[in-house]
Amino acid sequence: MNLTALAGWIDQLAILLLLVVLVQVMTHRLATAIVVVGCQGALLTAVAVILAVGVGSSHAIFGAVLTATVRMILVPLFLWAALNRVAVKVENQPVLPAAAMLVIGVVLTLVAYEVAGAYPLPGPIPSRHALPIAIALILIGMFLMIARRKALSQVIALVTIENGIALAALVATAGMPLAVELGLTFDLLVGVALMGVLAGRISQTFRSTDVDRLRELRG
Amino acid sequence: MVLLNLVVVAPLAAALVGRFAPGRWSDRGQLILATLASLLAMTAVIRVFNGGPIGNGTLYLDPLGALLVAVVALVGWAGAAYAIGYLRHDVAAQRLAANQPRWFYLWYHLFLTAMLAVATTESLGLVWVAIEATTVFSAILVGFYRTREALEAAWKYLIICTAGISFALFGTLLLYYAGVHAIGGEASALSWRLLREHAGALDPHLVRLAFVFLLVGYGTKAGFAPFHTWLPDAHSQAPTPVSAVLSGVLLPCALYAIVRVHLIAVGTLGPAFSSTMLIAFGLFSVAVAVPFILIQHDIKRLLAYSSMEHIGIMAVAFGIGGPIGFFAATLHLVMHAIGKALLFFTAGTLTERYGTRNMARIRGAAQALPFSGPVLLAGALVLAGAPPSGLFLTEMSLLFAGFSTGYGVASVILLVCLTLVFVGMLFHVGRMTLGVPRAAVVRGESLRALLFFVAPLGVLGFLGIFIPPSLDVALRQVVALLGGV
Repeated sequence: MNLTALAGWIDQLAILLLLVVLVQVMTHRLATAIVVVGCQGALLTAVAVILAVGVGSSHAIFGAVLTATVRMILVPLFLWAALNRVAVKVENQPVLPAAAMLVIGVVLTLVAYEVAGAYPLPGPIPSRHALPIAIALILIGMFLMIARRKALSQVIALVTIENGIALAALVATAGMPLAVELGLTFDLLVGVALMGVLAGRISQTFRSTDVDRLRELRG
Repeated sequence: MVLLNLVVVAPLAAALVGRFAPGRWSDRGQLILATLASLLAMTAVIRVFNGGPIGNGTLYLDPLGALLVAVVALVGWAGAAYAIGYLRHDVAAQRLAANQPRWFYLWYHLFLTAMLAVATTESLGLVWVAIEATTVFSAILVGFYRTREALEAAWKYLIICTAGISFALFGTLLLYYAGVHAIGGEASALSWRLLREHAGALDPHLVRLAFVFLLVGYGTKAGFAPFHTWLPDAHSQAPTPVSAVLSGVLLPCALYAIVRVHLIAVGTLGPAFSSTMLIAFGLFSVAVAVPFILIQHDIKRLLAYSSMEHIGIMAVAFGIGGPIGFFAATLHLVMHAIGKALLFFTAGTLTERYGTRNMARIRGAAQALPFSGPVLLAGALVLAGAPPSGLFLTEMSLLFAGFSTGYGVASVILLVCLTLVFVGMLFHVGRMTLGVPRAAVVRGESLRALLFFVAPLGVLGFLGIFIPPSLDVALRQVVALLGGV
């Protein structure tokens, strides 16, 4: 296949990725958000596989396998295990209604397209939508970290940011060097596992996972 | 390079022994292995200062890295030694279960491994990986007591630093992109050594953007205001040996990463851009820390804000640069690490004895604890920069460098802040050490404390008057590397 055809595929996958993230922005159910994280992993894996086909290096193939195991399977599983440890499984006191969240999500996407237009990072495959959507994922993840109040929602937002960076790395440079990529995904995995455990302990100790309740340390 | 591999891997042995060795061999064994690991690290450091950088490819140690390795080895070892008595006391007081110290040693030495990895790799990608690993391991230690406060601190620390450091990852990606296009080749495009050599060929647009992302990202971890909110919580809730390492070593590790990127940015953009940003963030951190030092009532939070102040001073010194600025920055880094470890240890002993961290309820420490009390006072004087301490020397030379290189306003602000901090520290510590302790407080202290506390204090006081030739040569090598010949 020629590179332009592959770029078309990557663009379509990136747009799908944006759509699932907008679902994540609107939902108040943590379970749905975790499913979305799994979808993000699956779509990232698909992008990595297409790149591996296009670039054809063993490194790219290994990167695709790594993305599949960690971002598609293990991270969502860990989050799911953490969800079973916390008492409250919905954002039951949302800061903003779903419609307002969606509006902000769309605005952030527009901002991302502007930014990517100013700083294009042409990579091995000429894709038009992948980089702006990667930046959109990062911005939306940041926004979700501020707007969500449940501890686990913040972890999910963090994973969204990391996935955005992973997508940017894939399309700009066909991934980071192997050793670095291994370390990155390992850190992500351990980080998510630890945050899940901590969220469970907070849920037990405080009888709530609202991070607003974490207000004892001041000054 | 086998030696460098060993340096990074050695603390793992201490971690495993601390976790799995039978009976009382757990704490003794971890200390023995930690001693060996530190000696090994020091061997590598000495080889670097005598024979130039060692290693190639992934592992690489140059004078700047060696300085950091030395500090990790020194403070890390002291923490491992202090932890034994400290944790026994906690187990006796039933704050910890009997097997928890074993877990402590496991995470503590893994934490040290991650910091050694930061200093011994030349790949900016692996630096990121290692710094993120330090967050994970140290977050476990911050939440070690599992109280409400400890959990809150650990959560804040983990979330803020992980989110912050993802900015640094994006910055690293941008630099990698710039590097691939200028240097080519995969792994080599992340090497700070090669990036600095080819800095002139990098896309200035990208480097500027990358530096901002990296500064914010690692700055969060280094405790720059306004991203510092996790810092006082984490430092105050962590077990004392961990507080010492967090403050004396971990913050400089993050600053080290910033300095590496700063050197690349200077090569591409000239000195103005990144230096100004370093100075601005540094000054702002110092200024934000001042009011919290003045009104503080918790002794460990006082020390935490003091760390924020000192990391700010170091950032300003690295930003001003030149022979004097860089010399002040590196010497300050070393002495702050020793001094802050000392203060956290004495503060830990004080809080154990008085059963509170509230400074208003600690009185007459000099009488109750005949060694720790006076050492706390003297250490606070040193850290606040009273002459003839080494920190007085570095702060004065920094101000001199600032005034003589056209950073007059910055230097005046810094001078005002330093004076206020001096007054604040002296007020708090003077109130705690002087006077008469309440009758309920047990008096007296074992001679062991004397060795533990007085030796580092002696070093600090001594360094203000006389810098031994070997240290001087070492620091000059670091300064030359940084570009302030």
